[in-house]
Amino acid sequence: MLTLDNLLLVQDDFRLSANWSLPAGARAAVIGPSGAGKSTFLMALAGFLQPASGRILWQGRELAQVAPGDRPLSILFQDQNLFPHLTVAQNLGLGLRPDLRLSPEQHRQVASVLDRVGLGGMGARKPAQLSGGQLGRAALARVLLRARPMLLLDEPFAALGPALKAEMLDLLAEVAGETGATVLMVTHDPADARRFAEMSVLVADGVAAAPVPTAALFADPPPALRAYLGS
Amino acid sequence: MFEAAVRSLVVAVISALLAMAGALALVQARVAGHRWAELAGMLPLTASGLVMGTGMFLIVHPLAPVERLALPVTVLVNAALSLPYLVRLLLPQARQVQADYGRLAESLGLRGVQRLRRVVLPRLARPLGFGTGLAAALSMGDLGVIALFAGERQATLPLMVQRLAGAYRMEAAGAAALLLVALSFALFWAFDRLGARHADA
Repeated sequence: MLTLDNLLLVQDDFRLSANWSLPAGARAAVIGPSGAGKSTFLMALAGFLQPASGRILWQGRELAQVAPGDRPLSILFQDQNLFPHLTVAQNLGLGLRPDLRLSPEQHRQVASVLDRVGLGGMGARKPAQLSGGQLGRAALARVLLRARPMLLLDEPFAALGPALKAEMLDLLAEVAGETGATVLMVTHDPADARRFAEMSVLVADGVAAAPVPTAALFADPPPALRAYLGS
Repeated sequence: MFEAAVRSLVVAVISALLAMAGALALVQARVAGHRWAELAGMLPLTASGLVMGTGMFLIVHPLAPVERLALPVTVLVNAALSLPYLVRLLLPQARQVQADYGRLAESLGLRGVQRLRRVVLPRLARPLGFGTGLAAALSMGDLGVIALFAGERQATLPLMVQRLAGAYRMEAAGAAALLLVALSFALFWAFDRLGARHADA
């Protein structure tokens, strides 16, 4: 279970608080207006921003002193999820060992997840030789390899067209299902939230509200969400 | 002349590599938030090579004969004099690498030597090659501290050009100068090419 215990994030004039829990294996969309602090919230969970007060706990263990790479999570950013000077296979291998000294078994694992996400035989390519959808698949393949219990997504598919984005969300759902990961996905698009997440966290007015069922949230949106949706 | 050319090349290559290693360390420290590192990289601008060499000589001359110190002191002073240019060259690009890939590297647990090897060096290969070539060429042409301390057997090419010209052997001086220019360009070209070859993405 992910627990945010009286969490307060402060960046210059910006403040964001959260005080709730999310059960292990749940999928939650993080939705709200631009500038509300959705990405900041995710960066704090990932360890790139220290809370001003409060605690972030995973399965009862506080994460404050845990470096981003050692936290029980994988994160996909809006862009730059792969190093352009490394091959796809090397980028995936970094998810297993930062020194890239992979055992034969680990090389087989890399090839296997590449097959799993539909990139079989493309391990030797550089990211520049992949399409937008293939880049997303490669990043998800590394998530599969790392098999961390939590997955944070900061709109990694925002630049994709609607059909490709739907395809990536379906693949993401499969990956989350296979790893049993708890997922928090930042999105601007209510359709993404409905398609992927049974829960939604509304970030607005300095508060990341407790997760509520996505269908219920959009059926009766609070004023902040109604203003954001324009309806 | 051959020996002087080899000596110049060795001094230039070592001082360029030393300067680049120092600049890279300072730049990485600055990117990590240590403001003093940028200031430290600029400090050599406050003194000339002769002043630095003289100071260094005063510090170390009780420990060893002057002639034996001429080349090591030249290497160190040349490296220090190149530092400000290399720091200025590398810093913007190192900041960009940190902005683009810092969080990705951290999220994957890439730290220390592995981060340097897998992320920083490949992403900075082009400016590293260019900067090392520049530092090598600057060091090749140095006629500062070496002129103060070198004996007959420690002359580098620039010093040899000066001595030959001083002895009115203008044709020999011209040949040595031509060799100096050619070697300086060749060194710059070689390092620059090396950097460009490793910057393949």
